[in-house]
Parts: sequence; structure tokens; C-alpha cells
Amino acid sequence: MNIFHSKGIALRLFLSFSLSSVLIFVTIMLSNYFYSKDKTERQIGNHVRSIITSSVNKVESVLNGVEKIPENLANVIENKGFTLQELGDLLCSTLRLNDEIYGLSIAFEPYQFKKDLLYAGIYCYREGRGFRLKSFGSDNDRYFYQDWYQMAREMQSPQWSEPYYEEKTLLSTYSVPVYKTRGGKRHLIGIVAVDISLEWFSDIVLSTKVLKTGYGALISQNGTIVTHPDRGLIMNETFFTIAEANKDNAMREIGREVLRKESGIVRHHNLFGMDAYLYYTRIPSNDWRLLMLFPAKEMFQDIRDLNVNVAVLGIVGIILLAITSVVIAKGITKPLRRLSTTAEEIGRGNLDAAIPEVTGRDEVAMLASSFGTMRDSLRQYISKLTETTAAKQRIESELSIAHDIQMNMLKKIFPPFPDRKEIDVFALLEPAKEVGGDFYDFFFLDEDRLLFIVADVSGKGVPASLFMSVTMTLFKAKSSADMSPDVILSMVNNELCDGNDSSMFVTVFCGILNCCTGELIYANGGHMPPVIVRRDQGAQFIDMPDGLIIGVMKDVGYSCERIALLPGDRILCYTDGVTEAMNGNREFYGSERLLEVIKKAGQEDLQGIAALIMEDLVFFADNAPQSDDITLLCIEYRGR
Amino acid sequence: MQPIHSVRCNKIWLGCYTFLLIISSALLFYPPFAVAKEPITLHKTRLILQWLPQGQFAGYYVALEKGFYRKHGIDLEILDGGPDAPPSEYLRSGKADFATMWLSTAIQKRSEGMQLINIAQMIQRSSLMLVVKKASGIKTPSDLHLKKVSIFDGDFSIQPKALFKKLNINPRIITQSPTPNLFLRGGVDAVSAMWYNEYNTIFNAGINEEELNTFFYSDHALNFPEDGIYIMKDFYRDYAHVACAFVRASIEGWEYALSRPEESIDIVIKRMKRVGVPANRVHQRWMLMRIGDLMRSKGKDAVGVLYQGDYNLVAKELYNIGLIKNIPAFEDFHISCK
Repeated sequence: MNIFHSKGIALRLFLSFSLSSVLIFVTIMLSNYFYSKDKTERQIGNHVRSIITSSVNKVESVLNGVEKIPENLANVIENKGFTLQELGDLLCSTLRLNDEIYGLSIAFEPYQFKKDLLYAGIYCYREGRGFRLKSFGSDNDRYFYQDWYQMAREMQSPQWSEPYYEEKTLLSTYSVPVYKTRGGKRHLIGIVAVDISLEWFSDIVLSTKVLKTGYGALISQNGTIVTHPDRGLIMNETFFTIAEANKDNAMREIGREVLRKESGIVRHHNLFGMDAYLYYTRIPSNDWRLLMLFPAKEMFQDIRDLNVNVAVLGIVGIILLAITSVVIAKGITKPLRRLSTTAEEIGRGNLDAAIPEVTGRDEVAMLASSFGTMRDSLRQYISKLTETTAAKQRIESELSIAHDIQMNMLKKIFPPFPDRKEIDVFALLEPAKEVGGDFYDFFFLDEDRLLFIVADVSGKGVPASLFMSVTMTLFKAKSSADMSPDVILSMVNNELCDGNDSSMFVTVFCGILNCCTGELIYANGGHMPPVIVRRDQGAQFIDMPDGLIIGVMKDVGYSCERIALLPGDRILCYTDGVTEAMNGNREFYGSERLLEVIKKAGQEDLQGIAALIMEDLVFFADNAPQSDDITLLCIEYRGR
Repeated sequence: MQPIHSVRCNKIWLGCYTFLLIISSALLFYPPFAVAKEPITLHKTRLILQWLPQGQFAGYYVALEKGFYRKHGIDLEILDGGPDAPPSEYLRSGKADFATMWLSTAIQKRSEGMQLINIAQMIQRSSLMLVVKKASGIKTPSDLHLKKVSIFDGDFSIQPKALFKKLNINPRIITQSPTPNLFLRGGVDAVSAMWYNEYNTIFNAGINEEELNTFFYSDHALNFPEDGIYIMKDFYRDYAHVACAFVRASIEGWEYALSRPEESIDIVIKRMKRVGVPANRVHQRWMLMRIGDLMRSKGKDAVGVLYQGDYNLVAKELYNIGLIKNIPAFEDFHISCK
């Protein structure tokens, strides 16, 4: 299963599920870890405290027992009268009764035992299974300057000595100063000392076990290692030399704290070679410290095991969750991708593309069904569109035919009367749509008289064109040689009004030019006034008689005007497609501009004038679409 | 601790070594190559040190262990000193030909008529000092007036007594046991210490240096050069070359010890364990390095030299205190082997 192939929903779902569950999981695990760590620390702390307290109590009970012995003996030596031998026997018999002690000694201050005796000391100690008594003190054995003696004397209180070796036995001595009050003054007469072997200390301390490999140790007031499972450390090292060897100032500070405080707990990364917790308690009698050390990793073994369990479960859970999310995402994205492929195919135009089957009734299924509906609608729409387009194409082709017919109705061969030298005619019609409503016509009524018409049917397109055809046909049919333009207009108007239900109308200019005389008679049916260009006077609009547009009201009267044309004069008729041509700013071309163009044209021939006007119109419109048919009809009278 | 891979290396070396040994012994027995490696007659002699084995004497143990004495024609046995073995007695009785001693001790012995001579002054600066806790408020030696001060017995007490006399103060003097324990328990206000020994013991009992004030006698015009090498005049007359060879070998030993402290401490500790005294590596390292400082306090070339100025100062102080009746002539007392 390639999840990255379906990047997007599947990947996002996978990532967000996995990441959020990892986050939740890690949070739970951490809080669990810290909670249980704290709990374990406290539990083990209590446990160790109880062990250490019971050990200290054991040590204390022995030490306290030992401390009583010299105190009892002190009373004896205060009274004079004993010989050293008698004192020695007393020491030995005391020793015999107290298994826990190694030796007992009494030593006197100079001249205190006898006035002439500088040194006086007697010592009874164990040797093998028996006891041995010896006296001590000489110039080579000045006991006054030994720790056990000197400390009790100078401190003026009982003192436990630092541990020391005597004949390979590790001992510590408890020395009690004995005073006598003489003449109101208290002064020292000697020291009673008891030596204890520290072996039994080791037994007590080393028998205390904490967790699997935790152990007890004992350090003296100076930090000297007195008991430790590593016997090489005993008496050779102090807490501080170990710190110094490790260049570990933090351990040194821990040592100082241990010697300063009554009890406490510290953790250090390197205590006697391990990351360990250290519990310590002061032994009140001799001011030594009992230490309990155990590796931190053991303390947290259970927690670590638990955490590994939780972690494995969590990781398996997260993997399952991830797989599930991928499967779900696949279930969604697979049909979606198929739908997307289909949509693309439909987009490319294949409306017969099959919509993929989606089982179920979920959103994806709904989407698939909507897709089907969309495709069907599209198909229907496209087929309708095809039909409509075909119809439109047919109409367009018909319109084009109609245009051709219309254009064919107009005379388009110029000059139209090549054998008549007295006149020239030129016309053009530029329809706005395919079929226009403008038209022009001209024909001779008899030998001399030329009838010409310029008309503009209201509206555009096919209706206008049909109406134009009718009008044009009527003009042709109704006009005869004896008629004047106003009569022709009246007759055509009446004919058009009959059955003109569509209320269409036509503006017409109709003139009859006598080619012999140059007389022009004309009538107007609401059309624009044509321009007359006199050969010697320039161009101007001709005066127009009144006259209503035709096709609107029956029996309307029209009147005639007449003017005489001289050879070279020209008449220029046009429709409003010229003067009302618009540019992009919706401004009209206007009759003034037309007049100007005609004036500028000067003595161009008729076709040239028409071309100039058309050119100026195109220039004026500046690509604005042509809104109306444009028609020009020019006639020049040349005379005989 | 030895890394595991070195065991494998050792095996390879052992192989090579054995091979070389076989080859070289084969060559040795082949007459043209059989050359004696050392002088045929080694001078058999003995050295007595002031105290039990410790870093203070590293140079001598190292010179012995590394064969420097043999190289100089001496077959040496080192006798362990201690409370029961005063070096001057050993010299006098002939139990030893060479002895290390303090200059002050030697001058006294000489003044008493013992015909010993100094052939090398090893330690140039006095390391004896007084240590007080800052908390006691004692800032200068003058503040020790009427305070409890513990002083080592014997020649160690000469400088303190001279100082107190100079300062005109009267401390309550307690004869000091071999340990500073009484001081650590607050039984005395000031304790005597050798800079290379007890001072570090105090530090190793958890007292920080910044908690202490220290007064060196050398800073108070009482610089008594300490360890020197002594022989009897007669010995010098008969074996001058042996005496000077001994000095050269010893100085070589010291140079080696100070340049390779760890190896040297191993040698010292081995010796200490044999005698059965508690051995602490950190402490022995401190001792060795400080002894090095004290020996070289006047420069490397001064090792072995006894300066007349120092001699005169010590002799004068001894005379003033009344420990000697006459000041032996310097030229008679010191013979330079350098």
C-alpha cells in the first residue's frame, strides 16, 4: 500500500492521527513516569530511612554499652592505692566480661600515678583467644601526644578516636578523661580508654542491603572510609580523596554536607563508581556517618520496565491507528480519485464516460450520484445546444440567401446607363446586419425622365428587408411616366398602409430628373435632405417639402419641389446610417461633417466621392460597430 | 583500570618480546657479542630515609626501581625510616651510608661533633606551616598570642619557637600528635602542617582551602631548607665518587618522578603497601608534586645545591635559640657534587 501515492487526504489523515496520538501518548507517558518516579522515590526513601535508622540504633546500642565501661573504671582510678598490676587485672577481668571490646587501658598524666613517675600506662587487650597485659609509656612511647589520649585531654570530654590499625585490626578508641578535684581545683589525673574492633561495625553495616546491589558504608568524622564493600578503600581513602581523584567538586560538596548535617539524601552521577542515591545519618555517639548507597537505575528499574511496557503498547497502538486511518482515507479517496478521473474525462468531452460505482449511502456515494446527474444534464444540454446551433446555422444561411436576394434587387452595375451621356449615377449600400432595411432604386420613366428613390425602412433584419422588398416592388409597380413624385409617394403610401399590421414605416426621398432640361422634381416622405453640389457654388442641403413617412397613415398628401440642375451639378442622397453613424464615444457623425467631406471631395467622380465618404465614416467610427445600414446614391447631371 | 584492547596488545608484545629475548640470548652466548652490560663491581650501600615510605621520597624509590643507582655503579638498599629509626643514628652506627635529614637536624648533629657532611640539599624551601580556620578570626601569626597552637616535637619546633620569640607572642603550645585530628575537632586553634602532607590531610577531611589561613615560616624570614642527603666524612674520603654518583642518580630519579608522576606514585604506593601504611593515591600525588615545587623553588638547577645564605640563616637561628654552641664552617659542612 503506497500511502504517499495518494498524497492529500490520506497523508494528512495519517499524519494528523499519528502525530496527535504520539503527542497524547508521550504526555501520558511522561506524567506517568514522573508520578511513579516521585512515588517510588518516596517509598524507597521511607524504606531506606527505616533500614538506616535501625542500623544506627544497633550501632548506637553497642557504642553506648561500650561508653559505660570506662566511665565505671574512672571511679576506680580516682582512688589511689592500686598498683599498676592490680589495675591491669581489673582491666583484663572487665575485658573478659565484655566481648564487644578489644582492649582497655588506663594512662596517667605525668606524676599523677606516683610522684616520681612520668609515664604510667597499663593496657589489657585480646590476643588470639586470650588476653595480654602490658604497661606502656617511655621516652620512646610518649602516649601524652597520641590522639586517643590528647584529644580527650584537650577537648576535656570523652572522645571517640578516628579509626586506626593496630596489628592489622581496625580499631577505634573511646577515651574518657578522669578528673580529681583537689583544693577546689579540678585537674586531670588520667585517661581511661576502651578500644573496640570495627569488625562488628562492618558486620552491621554490610549486612544492610538496599534493593539489589545497594549497600551500607561508614565514614568517620574526617570522612575516612571505615567500612565499605570495597576493602581497598578502607582507611586508604576519604570521601574527599575519592572526589579529588575524580576531580569531582560536587561530590566534595556532598561530603561536606554529609559531615555537616544530621541526615539527608542526595543523588550524584558518580558515587563510588555509580549513579547513586546516598542516604546518610549521623551516629550520635562518635559523630561518624552511616551511608546507604544504591544505584539510581535499580530504584527506577520497575518504573523503567513499566514504561517500556507502556511504550511498546503505545507504539503498537499508534501503528494500528495509523493503519486504520490510512484504510479509512483510502476508502474515501479511492472513489474520489475514480470520480476525479471520470470528471476529467467528461471535461474532455466524453459524456458517455461511466460514473464509478460507489456502494453505501455516504457523502462520497452522494457525490457520485450528483456526478451522474450532472453528466446526464450536461449530455441533454449539449444535445439541445447542438440542435439549436444547427437551427441557428440554418437561419443564418437563409439570412445570407435573403441578403443575396436583397442585394440582387439593387442595381449594382455602374455606370447603369452607359449610353446616356447626360447623366451619371452611382450607389452603394452597406447593410448593418446581413439583411438591411435601406434601399435605393432608379429607372427611366420615359425617354428623358429618371426616377430615383432612397429609402430607409424602420427596423433591421429580415422584417425590414421584406418590407423593403414590398416597398421597392410597389414603387416599381405604381410609378408611370405621367406621375410626379408626390403622387407616387401617395400611391405607395396607401398601398403600404393596407395590411401593415406590423406598423412598419419607410422614410423616402423620391426624385424625377429630366435629363433633357435638368429639371429635378422631388418629394419627401420624412427622409433626410439630400445634398446638392452645384458645379460653381459648392454643396448644400436642398430645401425639402413637407411629407410624412410612408406606411403609417393612409391618404396623406405629399407635395413637390422642383429645382433646375445645371450641367455638372450633383445630387447626393443618403440615409440616416451616414449621419447617425456613431463612434466609440456615442457621438453622431452628423450632417455638417458629411457636407464638409463632400465639399472637400470637389470634382472627384461619383464613385470617388462615395469612397471618400465611406472612408471618413470608417475613420470616424474607429472600430465601433456599424449600427445601421449605410446607403449613398449620387447623381450627376451633365446636360446635353 | 586497563582497557580491554591493551590485553590483546600485550599478548602481541609479549610474543615479540619473547622472540627478541631468544635472539638476544643466542647472540649473547655467541662470544663476539657477549659484552658486560654494567660495571662488574657495584658498590653495595644503604640509604636511610627520615620517615616511612611516601611521596616525599619518590625520587629515591624511582631511581632504585628504574635502575638509576645501578647505572651509576651503586647497589642500593633503601631502609624505611620512622619513629624508631633516626637517620643520624643509622649514619653514626654505619647501618646506612646515606641518610636524608633536615638541614637544621644535620647542623645540630655536626655542632655536637658528628662528622657528617651535606652532599646535596634537595628541598630548598621550608614547607612547614601553621594552619588556622578563618572562622577563628586569626589573620596573622601575631594573632596566635595566648591561643592553643599544636607544634610537632623535635626539630619541627625550632621554627615555631623562633617565630613566636620574634613576634614576642606567647601561644599555649600543645605537642602535636602525628595527625591534625585534634585541630579538626576544634581542640586547638592552630595546627602545624607540612604543606605536602598534613595540609592536604586537612583538605581531604573536607575542609576547603578558602576556609583556612596559612602561615609559612618561609614567608617569615625562617626559610629552613629541609631534606638533604648526608654521609659521614670518612665515607666521603674513601668513596667520593660513590657519594657523587649517588647524588646524580638521586637527582635523575627525582627528574623522572616529577615528569612521570603516575608511574612514580605507583612505585611509591607499592612500597607503602609492602610496609603496611595506609596509601592514598590522591594524597601521594599531592605530596610528590609539592615536593617537586619545594625542590625547584629556586629553579631546576638549584636542586642539590646548598646555598650559604640559607645555611647561615638556619645556623644563626639554632645558635640564637641555644641549640648549638658553635656554627660549623659552611665549607666543612657541604660538599658539592654538581
